[in-house]
Amino acid sequence: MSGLPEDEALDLDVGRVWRLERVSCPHVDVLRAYHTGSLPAGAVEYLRFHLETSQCPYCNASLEDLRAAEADSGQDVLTDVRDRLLRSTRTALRRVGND
Amino acid sequence: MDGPSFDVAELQAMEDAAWARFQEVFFRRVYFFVKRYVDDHQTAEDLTQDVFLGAVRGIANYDPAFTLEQFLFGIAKNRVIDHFRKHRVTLLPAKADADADKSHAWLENMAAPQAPRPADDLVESESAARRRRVLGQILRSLVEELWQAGEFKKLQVLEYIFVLGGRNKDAARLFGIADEKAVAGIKFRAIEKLRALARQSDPNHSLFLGLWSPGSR
Repeated sequence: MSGLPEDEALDLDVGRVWRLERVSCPHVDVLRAYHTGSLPAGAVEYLRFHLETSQCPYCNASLEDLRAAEADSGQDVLTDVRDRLLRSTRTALRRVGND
Repeated sequence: MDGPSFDVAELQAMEDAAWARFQEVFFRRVYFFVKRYVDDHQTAEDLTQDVFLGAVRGIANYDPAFTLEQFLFGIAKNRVIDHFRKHRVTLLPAKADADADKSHAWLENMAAPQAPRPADDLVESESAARRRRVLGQILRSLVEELWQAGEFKKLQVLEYIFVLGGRNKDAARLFGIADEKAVAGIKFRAIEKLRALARQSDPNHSLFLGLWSPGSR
């Protein structure tokens, strides 16, 4: 029987489920530890792979978020974004609520 | 993927406070997720706004088989894909390098424009959804086992093969493994483990029919 990624015995594309369920994405606390340099070497090597070679867009987004939270200028930009988003979402809530 | 929990009923009731909280938790990650692909602040902000508007419109049909995070990032993936289709440009991460196309693998529907969108995953059959959830749990337990054992190289090999579709010989070179037979061995043992766990999770032989058919290993 053939193996992955399309494993007929499991009736599923294992790679697809891996991505969809994000089974190897670490908890944000682990990403924070990676960011602050307090992870053991093996885990650092894996996270570097996950972020740079595998290029997980979710974990890269979380890491960018952690970096931006440290940098005042980045945070200012996102504060403006948050305020505009809140306004547009509120407008959408009224519209959908009235439909 | 753990994080704050949200009351879906409050979101479906269009409560301002619930949406403000939801947005506060996720908007930065959604913004940085889309910005990875567009590399332009204004476009990233516009797409982030579209994502939350899509969430407001789609929450009534939210499928609890998915987490809210999956629901939201499913919309985000599709907004990125729609953006690139609309502008008829190749989807490449903004931070281009030798492995620039790897993050495509994480965008499920890129290769099939006619493929169902995440919102349409609602029509995914119940049994397929159950299989997906169970296989997700099985894969997660395999990953956790490798983390606990400090087997990070094996985890890299498996992610490289499963997620990125890498070849054994490339994995051997990339991870400094003696030869591709050793990589094949890592893959083989992982598949056997997955199948064993799948059997344990399917006592009624109703989920993974292929595991129980005559001649299957």
